[in-house]
Amino acid sequence: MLHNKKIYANGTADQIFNSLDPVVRQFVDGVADPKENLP
Amino acid sequence: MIEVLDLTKSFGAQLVLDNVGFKIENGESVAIIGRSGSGKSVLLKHLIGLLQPDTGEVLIDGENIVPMNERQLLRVRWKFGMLFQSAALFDSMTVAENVAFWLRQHKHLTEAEISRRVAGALEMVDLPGTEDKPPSELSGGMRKRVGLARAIIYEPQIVLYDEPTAGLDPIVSDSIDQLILRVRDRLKVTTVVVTHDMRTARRVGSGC
Repeated sequence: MLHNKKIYANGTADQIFNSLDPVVRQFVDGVADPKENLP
Repeated sequence: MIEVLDLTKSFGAQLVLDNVGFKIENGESVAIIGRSGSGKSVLLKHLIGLLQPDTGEVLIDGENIVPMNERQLLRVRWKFGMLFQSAALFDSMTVAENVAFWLRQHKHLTEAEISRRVAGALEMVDLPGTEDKPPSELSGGMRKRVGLARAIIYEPQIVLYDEPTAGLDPIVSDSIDQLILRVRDRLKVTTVVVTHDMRTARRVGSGC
C-alpha cells in the first residue's frame, strides 16, 4: 500500500485487510477524515 | 522477476515517490493499493519504462531498464502486456484491428496467423465473434476486455493493470476480476494490479 509517497504497508491480502494500523484501516474501510479538508 | 530499488520521482517541485522499493517474484499476483494521487499509476509506468525515475533502479529479470534507450526498452516491453485505465483503444479501428495492432507493427506474421491469434485472445476474454465491431459499439466492460485481449495477444510474461475496474458497476467489475485471474492461471503470468477498488485488491492480489 502506497501512502505519503512511500510503501506504507505490505503483506498478503489477508494481512492488509485485517491490519489494525489506523492508516491502513481508514483506507480499507473507506472512512473519510472530516478534518482532512479543513484549511 | 520485478525489482524496484530506492525509486524516487518528482514532477517539478512535487515529490510523488520517495525511495520506494519492492520485489515481485515470477508468477506472483500483486495489488498496489493507495488513495487517488498516491502515485500508484506513476509507479506502474516506471515498471515498463514509460517514466524515468529521478533516482533508483527498476530491474526486470535482473536487467536495470532505467538507463536503457528506446530500442533496448522495446525488447524488454515485449515481456509486458498492459491494460490502461481507459483501455486506450483506437476508435477508428475495429476490435480485431485494435487487438492485432502490435502484432502487425512488430511481428511478421501471415494474416491467417494474426486472425487465429486475435480469435484466441478474444475467446480468452469472452468476446468471440466481435472482430468487426467498432469500439463505439462496446460497453465500458467490453472495451476493457478488448484492451486485455490486446495486452495478452503476444503472450507476455507480465501483465500490468491500471485501475482495471474504474468506472464499472460491481457486476462488471467482478467479471473483470475473474478475467484477470483466468489470464493469470492460463498464461502463468506475473500480475500487477493498481487499484483503489478494495474488492478487486482482495480478489486478485495474493499480496498488497
